[in-house]
Amino acid sequence: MSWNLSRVVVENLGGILGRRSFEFKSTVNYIKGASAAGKTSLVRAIVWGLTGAWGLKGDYQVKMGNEADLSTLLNRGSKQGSIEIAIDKKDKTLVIKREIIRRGATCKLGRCELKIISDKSEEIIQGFQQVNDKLKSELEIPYLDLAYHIIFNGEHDLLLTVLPEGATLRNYLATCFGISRYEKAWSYLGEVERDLRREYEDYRDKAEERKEASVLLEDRQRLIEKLNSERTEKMRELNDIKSQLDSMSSQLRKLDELHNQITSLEKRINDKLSRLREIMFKIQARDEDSRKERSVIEKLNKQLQDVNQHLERNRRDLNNLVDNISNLEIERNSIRKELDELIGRRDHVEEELRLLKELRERKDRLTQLESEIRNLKSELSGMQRRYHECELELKMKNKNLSKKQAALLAIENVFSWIADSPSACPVCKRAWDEELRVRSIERLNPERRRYESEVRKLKENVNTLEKELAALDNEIRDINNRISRLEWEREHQKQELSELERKMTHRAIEELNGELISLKQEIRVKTERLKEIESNLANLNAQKVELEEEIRRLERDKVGIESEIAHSHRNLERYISEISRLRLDQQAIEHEVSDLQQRLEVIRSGYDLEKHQTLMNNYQRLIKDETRLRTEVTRIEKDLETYSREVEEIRDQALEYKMFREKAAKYGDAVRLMEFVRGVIRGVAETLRDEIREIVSEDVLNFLHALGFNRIERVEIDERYRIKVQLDGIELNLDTLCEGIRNAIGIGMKLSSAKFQNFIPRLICLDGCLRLDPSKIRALIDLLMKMGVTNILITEREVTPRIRIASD
Amino acid sequence: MAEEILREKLREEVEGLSHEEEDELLNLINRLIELSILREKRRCKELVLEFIESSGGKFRGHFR
Repeated sequence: MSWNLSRVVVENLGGILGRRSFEFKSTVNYIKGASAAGKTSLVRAIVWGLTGAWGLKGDYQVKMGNEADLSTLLNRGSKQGSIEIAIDKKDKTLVIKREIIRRGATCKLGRCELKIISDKSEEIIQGFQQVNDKLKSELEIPYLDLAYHIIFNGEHDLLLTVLPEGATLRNYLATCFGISRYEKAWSYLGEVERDLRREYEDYRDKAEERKEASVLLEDRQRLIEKLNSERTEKMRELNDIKSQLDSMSSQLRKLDELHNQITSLEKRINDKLSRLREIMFKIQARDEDSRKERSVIEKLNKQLQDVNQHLERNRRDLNNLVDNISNLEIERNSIRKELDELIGRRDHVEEELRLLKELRERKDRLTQLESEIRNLKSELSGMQRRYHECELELKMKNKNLSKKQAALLAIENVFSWIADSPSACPVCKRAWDEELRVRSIERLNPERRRYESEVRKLKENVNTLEKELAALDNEIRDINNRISRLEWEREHQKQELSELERKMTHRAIEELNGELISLKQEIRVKTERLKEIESNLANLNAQKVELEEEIRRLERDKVGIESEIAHSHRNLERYISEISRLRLDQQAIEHEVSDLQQRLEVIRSGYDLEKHQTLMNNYQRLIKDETRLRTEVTRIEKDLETYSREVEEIRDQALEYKMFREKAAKYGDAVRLMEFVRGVIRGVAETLRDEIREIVSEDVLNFLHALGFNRIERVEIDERYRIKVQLDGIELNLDTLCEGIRNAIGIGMKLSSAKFQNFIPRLICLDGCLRLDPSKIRALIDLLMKMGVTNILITEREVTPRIRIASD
Repeated sequence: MAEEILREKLREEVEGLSHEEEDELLNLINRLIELSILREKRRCKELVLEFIESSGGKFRGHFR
């Protein structure tokens, strides 16, 4: 069903500022106006208003809704823009309203509304998707995105001459002809296939990992079955042995009891006998000990006797020694007394002799002192004379020095006058006679030097004399001191001498010396005797100490021997009592042994040892068999337990193996199916490409012929999607063709695509792409109208400042 | 046209398919293409696995 554009109201879209309304009256409408008057803006606005699409993505998909390049649609300085398209159909009118709102740097879709007005009713549809869905059915445009490609052939995205950035004809055609969906499906299903393959490999690996468990499970189950039957057989054998052992054990118990009784009695008899042997051995040992103890006592008694004899002899010696010592001590005391008297007399004589000697020495010293005092006094008088002489000389030198110093001062004064008053005499105030002044100075200079030298010498003499006087004074003082000291000593000696003379007995020295010699001799004799006595006493005292020590030692020995004798006596008594007790025990045990031997004989008569041995051997053999069987059963049960545990452990894995194997099979089938599907899709895409190249080449050639380009003999799209045109027998590339033919080829390709899709749009926009002569334009319009296009918009540039719509 | 090419390719790839089996496979391929465009990977896998289960292995021989 055909439809026609009747009215378009555009507000602030593209180059159209403000609100403008355009009326469309026939099938073909020319949009005319000056350059930049807004022709293309109007066409774009109409395309956007009809489809809601504007712009292409990198993969040639159309940008729809808010994804569309709305900012290129809206007027740059406007915050809001809109379009209102009125379309007339047979019995109703469609009014499409779309709005763009600028928000900051971005533009968003505003109100979107479709009003369907009929005679009877008015329907309003709102919302982008709802409006588009309704438009698809009302305008018979099943694919709005495809319609975008076909109905618009604008100047700036002119097919073949200006494609979107990065676009190729190959992919553009693939998109237009719908091959892309097969290629995309092939690619995307590749991902699905990889996922399926990954999962298949995963399940396969998991199954492989568990395969061993499955095999092992079967093996273990077989082994468990075998071990169970083996265990049953062993258990049966074990039960037989058990019944045999039960019957044997009662017989064995009786025989064991008898055997135990015999063994017990034998053991008791043996114990008693061994005890008896022990007692006899002890008795013998005690007898021996008694003998030894008696001999010890005898030996100790003898030792005691010897010690007593020694002790008595030593005590006698000690008494004699004590008597000797007391006699010697009496003699020593009398000699000491005599010696003391002799020493006193000798000391007295020696004192008298010492006093005599001292008296003589003091007299000598007194004489010496008198002589020294005399000498010092004569020396003092010499010194005093010398002092007076020096004193006189000093006075004289001082006097002379004063005179010389006065003369020198007078000369110095004359010099200072002459120096201080160079022009006139300071006394008489008369001017100096220069010659006289010089002569005076020359005459006075030697005088001054002589006086200066004499004064210096006199000063030195005075100093020397003063020092000598001081030294003499010191010496005189020193001699005076020494004289007074010696005089004091002389007086002292005199006093001492008178004292000594008073003490003296006036005996002669010779007499005193003779008495002293005889006293000394007597003292020597007495001293030697005293030393002898002292030595004897020391010897005797040492002997006494030794004897006393010996006596103490002998007494200690005596006490020790006596205690040893008492100890041996006690031991002897203890041995004798022990021997009598042991003899009583021996008799009692001998009696018990004879009783036990009688009882043993009675029990032995009722016991067969050979029979007991045989039965025992048989029993042991059966016990061994039972142990062996039990070990085997235990081993089997252990193995069974191990295998059962293994089975439990791997059972889950074995089950998982089955599950994963099934899954792997299923996913393997899925992978193969996917490979197959992808192979088919790839084949379809490749076939379509080949077909489409042929179809498009043929359709474009027919289209060019229909427009009147009859000189073009062939149009070909090669495998690399290069377009080649044969014109008048010459093969040309697209670039070498004129713009009109290029545009015609582009339009032809789009129409071919539309035909392929079974979709010829009712509106075709030719925006600045017709550089054809009027006959060809007319032919194109006729062709399009024949194909069912009911709206053709063609933009044309002219001098008119504002755009206007002109009907054909 | 694409549909015809698809059926033709299917026949080339798999021999001995019945008409119903051919339709089943075509339906599967078309649905897979639609799901691919919508980028529904999980649904693609489910569809293939369901097809394997529902077909009961009758196509297995054709794809090996």
